[in-house]
Amino acid sequence: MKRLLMAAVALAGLNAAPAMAEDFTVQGTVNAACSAITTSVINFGTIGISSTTGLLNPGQSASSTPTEVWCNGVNSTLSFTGGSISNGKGVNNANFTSTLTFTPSVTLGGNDVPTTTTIGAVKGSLVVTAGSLSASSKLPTAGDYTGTITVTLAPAV
Amino acid sequence: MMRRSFQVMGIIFACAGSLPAQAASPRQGTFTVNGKLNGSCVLPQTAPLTLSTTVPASGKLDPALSNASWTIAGLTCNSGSQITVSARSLRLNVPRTSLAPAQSQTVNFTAKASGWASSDANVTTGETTALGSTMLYAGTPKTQNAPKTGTIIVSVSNFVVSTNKGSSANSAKLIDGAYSATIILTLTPSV
Repeated sequence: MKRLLMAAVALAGLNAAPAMAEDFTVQGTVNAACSAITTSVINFGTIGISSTTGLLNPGQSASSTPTEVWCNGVNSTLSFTGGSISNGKGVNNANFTSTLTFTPSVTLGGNDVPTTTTIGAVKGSLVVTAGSLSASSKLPTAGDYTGTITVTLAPAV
Repeated sequence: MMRRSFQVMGIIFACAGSLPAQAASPRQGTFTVNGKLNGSCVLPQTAPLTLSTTVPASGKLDPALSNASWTIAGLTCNSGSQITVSARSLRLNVPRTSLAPAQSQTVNFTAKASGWASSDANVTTGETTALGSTMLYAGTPKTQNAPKTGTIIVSVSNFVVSTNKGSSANSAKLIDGAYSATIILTLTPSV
């Protein structure tokens, strides 16, 4: 009888213990990043000039090969710089120029992107264009012209 | 004891997880922009220059012919260039196929283009018979090293009646009639 009482007390004690439950918070961090930009040559080919005036033909432009890019940060930005090509030959005649200017532009996923724009988290095809080639009403000298457009994808959270 | 350990570990994990997301370095792509501009010259006067005169019955060439000149403006080359003058002799417009001795229907002359290269470009026609021919004589090209816009003046001089070699007809008389010569200017870009 005494043993039975002790066992009952022990069981009662067990039943009275509180349930043990823990909530585990699952966390992780994805840092903001942008993909690398695969570049290609933006080639005007043979630049056209008037056979009667020697001036640059208007409306000439050239574009890069489309390349896929992405950024995962909602505040990511896109910017670009550049705007001239030169043949590196100095010209000592005010009627001529050895530097041609152009208007750089970028489309992402088919949409124009002004420079220094917040593009957010995005994935799409990037195309870079050098447009409106101009010699500022001067005669462009013959030669091989080269320049650059630099595009920057800056990830931001 | 175990419960306290869980609590501590939970706090540690919570602190670790609360670090803000970082931004990676910007990505840059530099696109090369290329183009080629060929050498080109613009010569407003594309047709040959024509020198014309009428020889009277006296067979004397009009002395004013030596004052003939042409001013050609608006020439442009976007690179270094070469200028060449070519000419055909002054010859009877409807040339005969045979001539009497001491007669001629051909006059050699010199054409000169100045104002483009550092030295004048010129050519002297080289007919050696009284009958003459339609041969085009080309002078030595003269080089202009830099791109240039400008005006060229073409002048003519040194008119000499062409006679048959070996004849004594140095003073051969020109057949009367209408004569003409052509002068061609060529600008060639050097690029």
